[in-house]
Amino acid sequence: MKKILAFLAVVALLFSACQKKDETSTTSTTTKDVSVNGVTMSAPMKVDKENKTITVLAEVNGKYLTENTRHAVVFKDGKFGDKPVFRAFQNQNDFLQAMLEIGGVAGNNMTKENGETTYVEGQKIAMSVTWNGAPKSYDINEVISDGNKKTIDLRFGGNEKNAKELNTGCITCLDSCSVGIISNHAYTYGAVEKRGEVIFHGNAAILPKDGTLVAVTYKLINE
Amino acid sequence: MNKLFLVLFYAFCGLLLAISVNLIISTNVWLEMRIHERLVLEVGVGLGIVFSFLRNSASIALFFVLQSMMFLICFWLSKMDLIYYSLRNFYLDDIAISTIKIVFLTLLTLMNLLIVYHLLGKKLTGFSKFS
Repeated sequence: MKKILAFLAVVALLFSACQKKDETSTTSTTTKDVSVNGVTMSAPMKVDKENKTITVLAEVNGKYLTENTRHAVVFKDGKFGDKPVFRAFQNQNDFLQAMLEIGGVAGNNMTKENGETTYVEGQKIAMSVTWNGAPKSYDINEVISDGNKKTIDLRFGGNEKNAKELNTGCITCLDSCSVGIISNHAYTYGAVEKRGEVIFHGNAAILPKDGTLVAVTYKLINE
Repeated sequence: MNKLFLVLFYAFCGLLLAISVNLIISTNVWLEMRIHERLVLEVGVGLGIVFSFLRNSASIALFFVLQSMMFLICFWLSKMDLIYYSLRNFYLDDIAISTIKIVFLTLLTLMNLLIVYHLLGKKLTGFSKFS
């Protein structure tokens, strides 16, 4: 019996000892503050008022390179921090304030009651993703695939009160949402989860492996 | 010492059961978006620990049934990697998926080897007969 327990202890030791050593993984970045397009663990958000952009540090969640999800970017410590394609290191509330600071106009037209019949409004947003070693900055439509091949049309929904109260951590949702700061005008709420109108997942052919740090940049579009 | 072994054994069995439940949940996106894998694993491991106090020996049959069920669900759904993502969401956020895979499969393999060793006549204390 002692031998069995000693063996289990050795396995536990092995578990803690053989953690991945990879410059772009979060494991090593806790000691090595890697910069990705100007954002780091210690400064996970960069606001550029002149160019009207916000860049947020996140990591790839390999699970949703194959599984269906309605969450594109979520703060890792939010309630839905384990559900997005990109787990952000910046919270949704400060992100929303930054959006307002750079002059974003929020739609604030979504409620829990009208969600299934209403498309999110607000200023148009261009979202791009890059990482160290990436050949270019990829548009959201390249890194997240829509099963219907519809273009993801991001809008600054706002939803300050719900974002604070519910603390889901949602920064970018893939259908119109009454909680997420930014969401997709192409589908109403429930398109992914309830009605199965569409399947979203990360594009494994383009995105790097699970745990890789990426910089997600949001830019206000003036029409 | 024997009790500690039983707690670990049944906690591991609970983990296998919880992984199977998570794999089934992943087939429905509405459920998947609402139920956190961590919670399912906590309940599974918790049930395993409680169950260990009701037993005097480690049930080899239970282990084999849970292990077979987990792999069968995996193969049917073609979602082998989801096992490791489930485990990562169980307070292992900073550990690489490849590490989780190696350690989990090593544990599972060695547990099977221990049981085979036990069944081949080198009786280990703590294990039941094949029941």
